[in-house]
Amino acid sequence: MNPVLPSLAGLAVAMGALLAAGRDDAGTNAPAPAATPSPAADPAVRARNAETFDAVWTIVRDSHWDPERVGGSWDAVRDELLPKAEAAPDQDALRAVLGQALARLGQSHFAIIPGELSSAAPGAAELLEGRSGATLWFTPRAGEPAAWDAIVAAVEPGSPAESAGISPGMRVLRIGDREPGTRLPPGDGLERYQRANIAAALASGEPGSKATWRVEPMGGEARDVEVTYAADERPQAKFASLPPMPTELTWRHLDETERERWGAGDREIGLISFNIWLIPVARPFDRAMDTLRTADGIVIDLRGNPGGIGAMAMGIAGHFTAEPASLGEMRTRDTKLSFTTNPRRSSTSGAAVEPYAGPVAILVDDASASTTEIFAGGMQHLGRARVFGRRTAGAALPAMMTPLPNGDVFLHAFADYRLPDGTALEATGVRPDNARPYDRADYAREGDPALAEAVRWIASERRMPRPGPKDPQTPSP
Amino acid sequence: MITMNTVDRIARSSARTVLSTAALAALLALPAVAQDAAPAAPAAPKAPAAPKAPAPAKPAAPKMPAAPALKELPVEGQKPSAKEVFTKHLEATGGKAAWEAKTSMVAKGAIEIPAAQLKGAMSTVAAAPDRVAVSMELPGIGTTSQCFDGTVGWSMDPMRGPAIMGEKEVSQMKRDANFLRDLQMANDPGAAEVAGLVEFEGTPCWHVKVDGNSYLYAKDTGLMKGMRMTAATPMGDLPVTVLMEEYKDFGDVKMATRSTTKVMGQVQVMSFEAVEWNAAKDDAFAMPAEIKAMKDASKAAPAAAPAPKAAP
Repeated sequence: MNPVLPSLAGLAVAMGALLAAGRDDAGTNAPAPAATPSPAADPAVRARNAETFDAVWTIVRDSHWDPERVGGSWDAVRDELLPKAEAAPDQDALRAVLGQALARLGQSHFAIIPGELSSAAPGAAELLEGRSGATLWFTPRAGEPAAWDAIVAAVEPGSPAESAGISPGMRVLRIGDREPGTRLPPGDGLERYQRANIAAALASGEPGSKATWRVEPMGGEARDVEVTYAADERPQAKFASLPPMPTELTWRHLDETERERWGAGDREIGLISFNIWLIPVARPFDRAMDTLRTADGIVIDLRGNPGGIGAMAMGIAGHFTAEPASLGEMRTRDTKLSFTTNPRRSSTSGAAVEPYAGPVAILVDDASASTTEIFAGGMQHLGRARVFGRRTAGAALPAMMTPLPNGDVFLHAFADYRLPDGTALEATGVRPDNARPYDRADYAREGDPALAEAVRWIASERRMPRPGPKDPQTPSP
Repeated sequence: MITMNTVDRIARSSARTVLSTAALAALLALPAVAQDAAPAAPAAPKAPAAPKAPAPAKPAAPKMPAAPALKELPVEGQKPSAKEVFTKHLEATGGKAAWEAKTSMVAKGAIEIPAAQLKGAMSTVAAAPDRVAVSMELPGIGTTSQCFDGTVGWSMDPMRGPAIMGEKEVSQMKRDANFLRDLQMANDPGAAEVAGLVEFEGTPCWHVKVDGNSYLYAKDTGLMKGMRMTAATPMGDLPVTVLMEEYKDFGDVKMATRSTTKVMGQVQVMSFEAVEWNAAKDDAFAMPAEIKAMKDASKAAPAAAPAPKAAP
């Protein structure tokens, strides 16, 4: 079976959330843990284990932005766990100990990326999970503490889920032999992101394999449908030590049916979606803006986008800010850096333009993390965008990667991040501007309640003036 | 008559490229939640009971991201003047006459960010009196470049997009791009002063302070060993430390071929393999169409996009 790599979200899933869902017992991804491993006896293995543990421990001690957090208690972590790491009989056991240590920090962006999943590893590109095309969302089950309903929040057009008759608002009672709403981490902090990742993992499977989903429409009878997971055909991007990532940007104008359904009339509204903040989406975003610059409104769909290269937020936000403005600030122990927007005053063809001045809506959900939160939170704070959807992951810390002696890569945060007013995004996330949280009925009725609300808001704003034929805002294609 | 300290030139280029590097690599923001943070997680593979042997000693004292203070060394006799340090350095790298024959430089090599496992090509083109263009290409990132044509400074960055440098950055770029700077400093060091003898990367060095930055010259050879400076970036000021090593002869002058730059806890290594003198072409400093459009736009109508306002 494939290791877990259904997208960048899979990275976080691979870090434990999937195991938390018991994905291994669903027989799909994770290797079963050894029953009772024997302690490592080989002195060379023990030495390498100790060296790896100390590398992780030392990096955290020396680079964490809050020295108090890695003071005496961090020393205690080493005293307790170094012997266990040293005795780990294999890589999985060592990673488990390292994960145990990092979990004590209780923060995002501390994880071990297995060496076999990095871009440099042979075969890493073949490990992508198959897609159902359905996005699931866990919502607390009314009247039953610690129980959750898995709701279909979105279905991609033309996807296996759509072919199987799955639609937004349906409750998913079973996938194969799994009950999706069970054994989920409770809590309102990073646990929300873990649940989102579990949802993503549950909705994916081995390419070409089939699973029976038991779904229940609003007000209807539960029924079984068969979903055949499709191979992920999106282009893959490689960056540093990360696993190969499916990377895609799409954009379009909302069609007449959508505009009428959501009350936008003849407004020209652009919709740009991208799934990760890596370089291959940067230029396509610029090109999309070349065309959408005259639209009455722009919706940027970042649902499920787990982040990527943080600096890209400054470039994308620059399409919408006339002057340099801070999206927020990162702080290391000794340095402060502002994520300052770069106003974009030229088109991809080299024509002079002005940054887009019309209404901007950003769509997010609980799987929107990191750079997505830096961008959405900053734009919202600046009053330059309204945010619709579900509260974001709350996993927003600048991080870097460092190779480890055992061949793995250590992803580690090295700075705090806050909005210009000092508000932290870590653990809390970006709160959307929705009038109210969406429920199952909203998904069943609207199909996409976040997009619907965004479009209604744009339609309530003033129209954009149409440039004349010689206006420099209309660059030649 | 032209001269310059190419070593200094490359070191300052290193300091500049690290700004982009910091933006592209250090600011990577990828989500991951610590492995066993999920309360509902089933038991992870359990490590066996800890052996009774005492835990190994803790790693060495914390290496703080901030550069540690330079260790002062005792000075025997009178310390040299800044002019003497600059002059010795000039002579150690080839002498005044050799440098006076140089009008431009094209250097090509590699850039590596070991922690991020990124390695790519880079080049620096510099020409008198004060033009410089630095370009690097990294896998997964593409080409990032910075240029100062003597008047306008700009960057082409796949992450942030094209940008014209602000006043502070341009001021720094203009200073760093001065092809004549080191000859000028040797002739007239101005306010530069020798602060003392210090240990820098294990080498006794004269510590020369110029414009708030520190330049370190090896006491025995006179060669520049490195610098500590504050680099202006669009994101704010960054403390940067550059270590220069592996001096080699390129024609009749000597240059450091390896510079290691430390910024925000990250290390970037630049190594130069080929240097051509007096071979720079004007098009190396030509303004790209996107920058030219932005330059033109700055003279045109006021911005249309609403000025950002902080949320209540």
